Amino acid sequence: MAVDNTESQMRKGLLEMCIMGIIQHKREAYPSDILEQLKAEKLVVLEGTLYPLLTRLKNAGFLSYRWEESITGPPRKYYTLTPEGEEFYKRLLITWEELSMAVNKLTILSPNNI
Amino acid sequence: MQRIIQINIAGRVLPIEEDAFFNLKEYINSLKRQFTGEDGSEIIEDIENRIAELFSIRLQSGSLAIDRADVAKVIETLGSANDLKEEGSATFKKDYTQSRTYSFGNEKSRQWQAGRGTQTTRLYRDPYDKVIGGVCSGIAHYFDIDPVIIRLVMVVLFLTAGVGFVAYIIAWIVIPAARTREELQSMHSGETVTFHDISKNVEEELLDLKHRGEQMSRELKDFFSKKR
Repeated sequence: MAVDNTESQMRKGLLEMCIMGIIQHKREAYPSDILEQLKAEKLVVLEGTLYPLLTRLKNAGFLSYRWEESITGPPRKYYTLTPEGEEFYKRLLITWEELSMAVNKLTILSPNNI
Repeated sequence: MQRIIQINIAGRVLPIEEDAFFNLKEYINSLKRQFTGEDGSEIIEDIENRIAELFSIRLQSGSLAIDRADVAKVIETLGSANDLKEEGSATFKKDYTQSRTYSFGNEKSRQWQAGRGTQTTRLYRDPYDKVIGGVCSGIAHYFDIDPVIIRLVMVVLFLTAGVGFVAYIIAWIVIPAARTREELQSMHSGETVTFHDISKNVEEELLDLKHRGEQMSRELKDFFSKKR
């Protein structure tokens, strides 16, 4: 149980970054799109976790959205990164880069292993 | 046999079987209690949108109406309010603790959002310490003061303005009596009660309200016959 908790904490922190990454790649994405990709990578299991994150990122000014009618279902919110969002995402990427290097160094390449 | 009703969800009109509708309503209500505050209504809107989308897909594949299994599947896909709480609590604690929660939105109930293990006091009427309906003693327990003070204030309100009486009757109807041991404990403050334990669905609440209405009229009768 403790392991589960730690894993989910780790995932959660990176989830925001991944959401922004997906949106940046597609330039514009709607939640079900984002969900599909996150679920494919097993980053999200419960769809309900995405919506609070999107709303929070939007309210923080990192995302904006527009409505688009859909033939098959209800209207969709298409999200894009705001300039602040782009900036924030870049900074997150750098942090991730540094962190993963540090973590790899300490875990995989630790002196004991060499 | 099942009655099929039409619901409007996220601007889409969809056919749904009646018992499935109740399950869905209960689910959405539980989410509403989970996501309160400024962001809350927007999150609920987004989730309803997703539900409408999933239902649309289901109906397009040839189903006549949404049934209970479909609703169960949607809940499984999106996650129950409880699951979402655990996944979201660490990140959203700060945002949502500032907002109104399920019960009588006030300072103390905010603590719920901060997770399990926090202490909550709930507002109940005290059936063991009452003059009329136990409203005053319930309020007194809630704020941890002497019931006599509340009663005095109430008497002044009774005498100076008619609103005191009306307010009392409303409080009598709205505030549930503490019946179980757990309710009594949480009325007297301090016991841990998790969000899940407390959450009731709307049907239950309505039934309860009806029940209380009936009980109140009985108590009123008792009270007045005693006076004579």
